[in-house]
Amino acid sequence: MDGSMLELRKMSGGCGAEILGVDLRQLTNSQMETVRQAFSDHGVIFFRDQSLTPEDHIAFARRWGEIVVNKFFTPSENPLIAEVRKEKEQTTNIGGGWHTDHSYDVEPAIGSVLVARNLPEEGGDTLFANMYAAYEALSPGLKKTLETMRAVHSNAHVFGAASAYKSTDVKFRNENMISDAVHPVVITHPMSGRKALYVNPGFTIHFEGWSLQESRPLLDYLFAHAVRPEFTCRFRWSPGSVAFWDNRATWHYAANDYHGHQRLMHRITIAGGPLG
Amino acid sequence: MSQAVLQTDAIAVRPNPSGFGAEITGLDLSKPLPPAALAAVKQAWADHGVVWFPDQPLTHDELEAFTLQIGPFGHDPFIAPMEGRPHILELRREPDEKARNFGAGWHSDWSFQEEPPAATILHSKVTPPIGGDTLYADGVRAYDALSDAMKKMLVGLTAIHTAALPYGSKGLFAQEQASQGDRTMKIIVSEEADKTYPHPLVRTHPITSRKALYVSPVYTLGIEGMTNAESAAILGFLYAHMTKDEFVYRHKWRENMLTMWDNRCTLHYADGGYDGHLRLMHRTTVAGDRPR
Repeated sequence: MDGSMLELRKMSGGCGAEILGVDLRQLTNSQMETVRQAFSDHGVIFFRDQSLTPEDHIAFARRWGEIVVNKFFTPSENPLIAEVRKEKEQTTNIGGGWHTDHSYDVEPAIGSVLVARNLPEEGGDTLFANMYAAYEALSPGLKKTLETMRAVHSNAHVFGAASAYKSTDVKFRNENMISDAVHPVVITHPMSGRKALYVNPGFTIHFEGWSLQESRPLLDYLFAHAVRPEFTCRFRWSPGSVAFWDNRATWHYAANDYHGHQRLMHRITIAGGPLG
Repeated sequence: MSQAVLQTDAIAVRPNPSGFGAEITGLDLSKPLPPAALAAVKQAWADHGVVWFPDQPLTHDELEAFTLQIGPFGHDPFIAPMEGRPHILELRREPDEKARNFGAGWHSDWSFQEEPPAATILHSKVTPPIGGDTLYADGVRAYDALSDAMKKMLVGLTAIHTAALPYGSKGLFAQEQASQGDRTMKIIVSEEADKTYPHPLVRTHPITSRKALYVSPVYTLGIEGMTNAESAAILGFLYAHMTKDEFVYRHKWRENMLTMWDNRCTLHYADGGYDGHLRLMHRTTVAGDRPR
């Protein structure tokens, strides 16, 4: 199998692509180049019918960069792999709101490779929104305004001691390891060279130097704009499905619509660098 | 009030505790003001945004003469002036009138003009026993209260102004006329009102050099280069911010009060609440310069 045999199917007009006809355990260099280009072009890529052991999962992730271990998530048996787990009796899920992973880090992760391990019969889809498309659809005036602005991202309200999760049945570790970071509101993507909107409802709390009250209306506008259906796609998981999303170019949202069933995913997160 | 109040040293300027709005007594506005008194009035007007002079019965000639001491008349479109008085608008609402009272939205007068009026002068002839207050919002302190980073962003923006919403060919007054409203004032709706004019969103006052927010929900259409929805996110915040209680002065009228406000750094809003009562005012404007 070589790169020419890959089949790429866009998930929607604005976000994501499925790559078919490839075995992630045996990616040739030319296939890898095709996959890399698809990742760069579409913000999130999906694979079907894979048979990845934890070791295969790690090996694929390492082709993209160093693995980072999320401070707050519970690891699986392998410390490099985090569990995204919801048990039958739990009602709150992890990631049930639009967000970008790790935007609270000074050097946010490139993205995560998520492998389905145990799925509910129905539900548990993941939705993605493309921040290249969201940026490109802004007016020239607002693009110009946003290009000189930076925003503060924090995880205190998500993973900290006073977070909204504390009153739920989801538990995270290391609630004292909270942190903030400041990033440009519009980043130039290090891989694609394209501009992307880099604020997200999960972790962005205000524009740098602006009060919370001043920031709220414009952030809320951007948050509503960025999830226009034209910029989104919805991935339905099946056994063997793998998703690899780009945190610098997409948001994601884990649908919480499968109460009474277990869902277990393995996540590996890949280190990134500073954003400009 | 005695005749001796023509002495300039008898002028008393009593600002509100906030510094926004001041009462001026000790002058007779029916006669030309001595140069020092006129200078003091202009200074108080610039410093406090809105100044009022109680107990000043004035003829039309005297109102015009006082206006011309402040500056040349402005150009007042879309409303028919008084017969034989091209520079005086009569703001009249009859006791049985049902039309929404004139000016019941936050605005700065004629901000859609290339050179909007610096001052508006309003003289009360008949005031209702209840209602009819005018609210003023201080664009200077509202601007000052913003974060430095937001100020910096706003200073680079241009706002698009238009008279279209009230006076345009499809505006509120055109709709009212189509539905046979009972308004006493003669409003002249016009396609001329559909034109737009850009001004800096943050305006620097030519006298005080203070910066002020210069947008209003009545006359500001949007921000140059942005969509309506994007503009609304920014402007909606600014409108709510500018009209917070802490930046607003509610002005109570009495008969024969002359009030003069600075359109370059304030918004105003004509409150209603006086159905069943006549309210009668006369208004002039003073020409201003191009906002910078």
